[in-house]
Amino acid sequence: MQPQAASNSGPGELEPAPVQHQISGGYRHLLTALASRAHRFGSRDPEAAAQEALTRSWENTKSKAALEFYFRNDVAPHAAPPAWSLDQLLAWLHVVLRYVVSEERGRVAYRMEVSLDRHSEAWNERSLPEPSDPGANQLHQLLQRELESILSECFPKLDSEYQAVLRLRGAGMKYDEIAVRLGQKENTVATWLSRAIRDLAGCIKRRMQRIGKK
Amino acid sequence: MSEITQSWFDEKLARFARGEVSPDEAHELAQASLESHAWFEDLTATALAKTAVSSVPVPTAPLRHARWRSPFLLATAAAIVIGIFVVNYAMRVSSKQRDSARIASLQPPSMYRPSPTLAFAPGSAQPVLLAEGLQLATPARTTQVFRGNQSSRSPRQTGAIILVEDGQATINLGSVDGLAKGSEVEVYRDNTLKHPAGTLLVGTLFREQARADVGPKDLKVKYVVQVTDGDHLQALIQQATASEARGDLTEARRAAASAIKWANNATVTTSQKASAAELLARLDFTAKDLAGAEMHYRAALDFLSADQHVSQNDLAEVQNDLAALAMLRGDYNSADKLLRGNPPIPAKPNLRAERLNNLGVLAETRGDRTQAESFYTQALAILPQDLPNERRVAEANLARVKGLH
Repeated sequence: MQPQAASNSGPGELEPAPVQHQISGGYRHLLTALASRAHRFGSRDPEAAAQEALTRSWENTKSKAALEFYFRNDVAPHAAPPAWSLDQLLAWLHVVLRYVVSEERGRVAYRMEVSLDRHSEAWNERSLPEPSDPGANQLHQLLQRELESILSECFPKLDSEYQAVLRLRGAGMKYDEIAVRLGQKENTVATWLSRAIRDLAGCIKRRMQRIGKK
Repeated sequence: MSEITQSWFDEKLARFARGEVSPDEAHELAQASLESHAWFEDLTATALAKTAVSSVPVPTAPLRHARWRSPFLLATAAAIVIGIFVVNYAMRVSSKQRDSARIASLQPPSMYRPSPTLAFAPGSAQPVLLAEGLQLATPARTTQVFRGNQSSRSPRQTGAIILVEDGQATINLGSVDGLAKGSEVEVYRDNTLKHPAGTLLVGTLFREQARADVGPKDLKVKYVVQVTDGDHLQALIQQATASEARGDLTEARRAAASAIKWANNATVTTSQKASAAELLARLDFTAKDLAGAEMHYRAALDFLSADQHVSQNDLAEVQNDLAALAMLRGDYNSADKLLRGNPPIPAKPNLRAERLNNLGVLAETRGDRTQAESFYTQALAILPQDLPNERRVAEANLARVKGLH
């Protein structure tokens, strides 16, 4: 389920750098949505940050294929689905955008020669790769850290039933197996799972809204 | 896309959360999310939640290690560790500290952080809970039916009359199938179970067979007999406890979970369902699955609460076990609700004493030692003399809290 960036991150598999208008032409709405998020993350130039995040995603074979499938408004009918699911693509875009904005803020801080307290950020600089251009492997590591951080913050806040169903689902159990394990009906398991994801998403959304305020 | 409404998006997002959308639907959803920044954020948050759950090991217990990242808590922990060393040193140089009250009194009050436990040790520096269902040292509850070896067959709900002789019918179901002397067994003419032929009252019981008077009924060999749902559930529960007694906890939990699943669609009382849920909760706890234990105790409590004729003792016991579990994970507010919120008054003095002891633990964790002392004293006053282990716990709690004043 996790983005398999490591497997296709070799230099030989990278796509040539895109011409900017190629991206913006087909993905205007996506750029606007990402720019809005970049603004909330504290970017001084949200549109450039969104463009940069999309450009970096374009350089990765799998994220590019997923971008084309899910976000091009003129995708061919019955086109073959990409290797990445929509979940994977959106998680990837989120972490790349966060990296780009952090990088931008780091550059600003360096230029101003001001000692900023970067450690006050939820996603502090220790979690960032070297200032040089990060490879897909590093971005993948960042994504893993972000996901771990999300779980450590949000999972304990869930109701115990929801935690239990997520644990069992995470262990690879099917609905009917979880139902037996918990002594519940399969419908109940499905409902709990749905609500668990919803509550987890609510916590993540609040977390995302806090990022730019720190 | 112009027809997209909030309800359409919500419904699609819910299906997306459950992993039910096809790639084409995902494309449609992704496109739709761009209509509104709020929708795009909702979709991204849901995607992150799904990805986190599927690609990162979900914590098996509250992420305690995360707390160490807090400098304040780290400093507090360090202070506690230093405090413990100081106390240990003080204990070594002193030749007079042998009773538990003094051990506790050596701890500077400002450093004393009560952490409820179920493990009793003489002179325990921590408040000890009393919870009958959670005492791991308690031997497995006696099973009424011998199931000593693993090859014992599983309980059956239907069997047959195998002999009719001298006014008595012998059936191929017995105690292993949940029957007891006096149990009723329905008799049918065939396997469809649609043509009743009467009822048998078990008079003589064996492990895999039973005999009953036929009376005036016209019963024949090969007629089908069926154990009531209640008796069958009892057999399933006994099967789980027998596995536990053999030390096969995994099988015991599997059997208990199967029993609950079967009971959900059977004609059994809510108290019987509660018994199965309570058993699974206890097995979960033994397996150190505290979240599972709490969930199944809650299920048991829900079943019991729905029963108009519920035993106040049963209700109080489950509430007390749940409160103890809540305190073990530091959820004192839930424990408070369970112990104080309109609780039933159990007839059994040991159950009343357990609750009072645990109210004392709750008060102690909240720093109210005067109230804690009062609860421990009350618990000790009503604890029967024939429960020496429970009395030792309450005595140690009382001695410790007195030493802290």
